[in-house]
Amino acid sequence: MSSSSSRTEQTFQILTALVDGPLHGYGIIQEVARLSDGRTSLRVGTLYGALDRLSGEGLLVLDREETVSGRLRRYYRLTDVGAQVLADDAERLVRQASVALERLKKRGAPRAALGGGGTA
Amino acid sequence: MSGERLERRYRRLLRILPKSYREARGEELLSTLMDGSEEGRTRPELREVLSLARLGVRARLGRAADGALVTTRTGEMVRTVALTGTTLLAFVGLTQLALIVANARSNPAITWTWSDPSVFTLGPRHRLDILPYEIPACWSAVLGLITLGWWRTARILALTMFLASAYLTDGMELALHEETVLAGIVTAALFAVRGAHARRALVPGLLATAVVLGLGAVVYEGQKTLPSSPESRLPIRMFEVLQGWGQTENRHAMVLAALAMAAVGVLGYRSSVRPVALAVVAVAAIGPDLILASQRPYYVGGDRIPLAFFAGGLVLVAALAALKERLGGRSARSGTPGAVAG
Repeated sequence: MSSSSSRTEQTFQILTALVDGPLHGYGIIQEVARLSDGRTSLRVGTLYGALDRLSGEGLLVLDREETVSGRLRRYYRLTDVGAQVLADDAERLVRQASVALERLKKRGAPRAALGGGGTA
Repeated sequence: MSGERLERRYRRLLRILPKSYREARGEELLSTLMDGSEEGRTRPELREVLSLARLGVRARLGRAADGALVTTRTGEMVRTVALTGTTLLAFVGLTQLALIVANARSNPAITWTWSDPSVFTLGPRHRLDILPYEIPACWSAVLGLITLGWWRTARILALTMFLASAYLTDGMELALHEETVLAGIVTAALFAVRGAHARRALVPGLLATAVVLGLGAVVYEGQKTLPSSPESRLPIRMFEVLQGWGQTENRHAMVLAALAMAAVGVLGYRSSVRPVALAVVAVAAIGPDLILASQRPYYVGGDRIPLAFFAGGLVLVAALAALKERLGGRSARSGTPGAVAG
């Protein structure tokens, strides 16, 4: 269960990392770490498993290849379908979060808890 | 110096991935691994090793492989037909062989099995009569070769078996033609598959289904009383065993239809491609039997209604999947993979 939800979160983060433009494998790892404030540290095997799956679903495509210092780099780009899926997921998360906050307010949760910054 | 040593170790570690996957992605993976490695490190990080091991297993089982090489829906359809068909033929062949042996032990009247010593004394012609019943067991070897990633050998073996079956069953009873027709379709699909480490997500699900059905065939007492004629071959026998499970009133048809649905459910499709491919295989496997039902009233059970329900169930699932995709639903996620360079 937990692994499934973490996979979903990783997928979400990978798609988010590619919103601003194409990135290569290590670029995605760095961007995901930055976006999650260092909470998510993608492993290479995990990253490429996700890239395989997301390319197969048409959510991202290969943008270009480069050779830097004799090493092959492939850049991946978000597709329109991928952007749409990410937008749908983001809206769903916002809706879920607002429902949760609403209920917590009614319950009279401590202000600090509503302020966020928890462990999520 | 330490970089070279680390690179060498990573290269060795990448052998954990299927060869075809390595050929497509090895250099890229190595580049990412080296980019992310700390200065002075000489050995791969344990967590990296574990993640690559997991990727290797998933790639070999088809759980996460080949996204960058999937270019068309037709390609995925062909792959699914090839893998589903191979799994079905392997299951049919092995169970058929197991039942031949089991029946030969329990019923001495059976004289056409390889396990009856008399066939060896009757000469080569009788051996040839029996071979078509034994050949399908070799499809399990094809499945094994695919799982190992040895597609070329798998193709050659499949073609050999298809040609042998076609030759041996020429002029023989019609029942034997069903498997040959299916074997022909599957062989053609195997040759058309592109991307050797292609999606094999179907294999674990279908193997699980095969194990459940195989156990049922062993547990179900009624199978021992079935007649010892060539019609006791699978997949007919398989369906009769299933029929036996649901013999209370007329529920067996529904049981089969439910199993068909469940089989597709196990596969977890993201687009209509897989259910449609599965329906193609199912119809190829039992279609001739349905067409010939009126000419073959001597089957146990007499009617072919459960088989029709089975095929109908799969076709229905395929139609629903196609409709669902057309109307939206999962379409955004499945999309059209489009041309993705590999």
